[in-house]
Amino acid sequence: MADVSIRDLVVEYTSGGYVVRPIDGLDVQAGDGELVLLLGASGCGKTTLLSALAGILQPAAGTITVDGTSVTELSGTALTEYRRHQVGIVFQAFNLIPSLTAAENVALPLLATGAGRRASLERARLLLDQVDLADRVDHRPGDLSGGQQQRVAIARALALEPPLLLADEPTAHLDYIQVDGVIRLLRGLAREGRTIIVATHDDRLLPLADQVVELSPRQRESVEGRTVTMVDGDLLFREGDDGDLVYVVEHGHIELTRERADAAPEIVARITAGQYFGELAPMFGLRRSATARAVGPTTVRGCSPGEFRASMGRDAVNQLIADHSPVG
Amino acid sequence: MWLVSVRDLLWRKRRFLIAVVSASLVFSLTLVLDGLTAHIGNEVARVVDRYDADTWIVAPGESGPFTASTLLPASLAADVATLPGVEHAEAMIAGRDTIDGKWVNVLGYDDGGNVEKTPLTSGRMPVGPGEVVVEDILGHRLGDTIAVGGELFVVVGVAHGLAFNFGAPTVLMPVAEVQRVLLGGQPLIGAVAVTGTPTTIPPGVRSMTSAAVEADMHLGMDQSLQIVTILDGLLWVIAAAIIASMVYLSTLERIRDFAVMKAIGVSNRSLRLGLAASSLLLAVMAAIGGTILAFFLGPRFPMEIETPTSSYATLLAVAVVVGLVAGFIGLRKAVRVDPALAFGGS
Repeated sequence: MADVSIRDLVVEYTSGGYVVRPIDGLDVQAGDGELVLLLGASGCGKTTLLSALAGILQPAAGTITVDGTSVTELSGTALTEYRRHQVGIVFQAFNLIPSLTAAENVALPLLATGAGRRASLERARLLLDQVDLADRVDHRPGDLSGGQQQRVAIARALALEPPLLLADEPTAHLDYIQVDGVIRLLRGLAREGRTIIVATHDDRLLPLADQVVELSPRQRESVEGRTVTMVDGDLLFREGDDGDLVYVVEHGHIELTRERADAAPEIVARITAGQYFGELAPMFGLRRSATARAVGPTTVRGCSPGEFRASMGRDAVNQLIADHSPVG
Repeated sequence: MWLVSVRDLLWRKRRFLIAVVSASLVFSLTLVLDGLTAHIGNEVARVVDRYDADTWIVAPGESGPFTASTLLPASLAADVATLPGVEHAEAMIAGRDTIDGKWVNVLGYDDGGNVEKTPLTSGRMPVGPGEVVVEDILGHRLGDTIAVGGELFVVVGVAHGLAFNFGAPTVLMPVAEVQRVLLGGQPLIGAVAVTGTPTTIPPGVRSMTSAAVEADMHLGMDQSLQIVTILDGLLWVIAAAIIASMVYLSTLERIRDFAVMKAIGVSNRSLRLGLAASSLLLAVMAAIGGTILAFFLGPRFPMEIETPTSSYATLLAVAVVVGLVAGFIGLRKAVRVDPALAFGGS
């Protein structure tokens, strides 16, 4: 069994003195034998989520359970053992050790467990045979194509038969012929006893998935505009929320704040009647980078990105994007 | 994980070889300097031991028999020989001259004394005027003619191991010949080397032990030896720096590799052992290389190099320490690598 359960996961770090939460309250359930795609643009938290699943990154909150093991509670030797036996990782840049042959690279996880050299290399040759690289066992990574290196990396990730296989952008460095081979290989590997989670922004992988988890907020051009009336202190949107509407203040004030590394809010802008805010998140499919709260009785009008573009004109929108200070 | 370390060294074999050769050169120089320092101490002891003296009777003052400029009457040797407790008294005189553009020690010995029994590598001791024994490092053979104090002498014997004063070769001749060519025939000597323990000594002179004589000969060399010791220490630092920089640079280049290894479950202990092994291998190979190089470099020095066996053992031990210390810097870097670095593009 290789069930993966992610519950209310929050991963945060500080950047430029502010708190950043690439993953905030994520829930994912992956069953045994499933191939799950984590889909999203760069920076949406795909690799962060893989790191947390691999036990490399400690989340701020939430739980990750793999095959009954609560990964978020592991530490020290138990964590090393988890990384060795429960999870195999295929890295975006292959990350093979350049001084080792293909067989030695695949044997590395086995050697790390104290297995004998001969037995480890035998198993490595078997795995390389399974990924159609039987004739490349003694080649160094520099002598292999990108697709062949990726297959060696997959064989390495399978060396200890982990129930969970993580692949980070496995097609990022490959041409279309090599992509085909890697896709077939990953699909074939997802079977009983093994769950595969692939982080990618490559739409070509969609047909291969049993489940797709979208980590980027979708751009919603068709969202309906609305007018919101608030009293002092009312929250319009929170930092990290998906962005849907661009707002124009009709009456009152809006205060935009951002959470600092010490958890204290910092006022980054005060928007008055006639001014707009929060335009970048809905236009580019980003998360809100600040929290918007009413100061005193306030009315704001929310419009879709399309309406906003139409009302401003293309040149004006381009100019405001170029001049924009990153808030809202 | 030994496999990864060994493969990495082979992968970077050019750099590894350059580091080994560089550190070997430095290590060989430390061995040569050790040999030089040992030789300077040994040569003094060898010359003083040649007289097999328990006591030395010398002129008043602080200088010893090999450094004094104040001389004593030649008759003193016969007087000392009659003193109670004296088994044997032997006149000696030490002077300096220049032969073939080199400073040489001119050592006068007493007939029938211990120095006259000096073993020669070839030839015989002088039996008449105009004959001399020379140190082999002077480069003269039997039958050659050399000038001492403006007089010509025929080389009748060649000896080894009589050099002193920073390896200056020695010319041996009877005391009477030294008096003739360096003192204008005056019956003077430098000191009397005494076997036995005289209960009294003649007035106007003083006695020295052989240890005090050796210490006196070292006085002029202490500063030079200190410089050699400082240079020796600096060479150790340079060797450590070469090894450390090689290990550290390799570690920096392998940061992604270490992150990957940690991400796939290689323990910090394994990483530490692997890196320490690389560093140790580099240091030990450099120590072996240094030892081999020292054998070739030593004979090319203008002074005899007498590297003690203990220096080779010390070199190996220090190389191990240097290797571990040098490796420690890279090792700290490696174990602190965040495995999350393995994710992301190249």
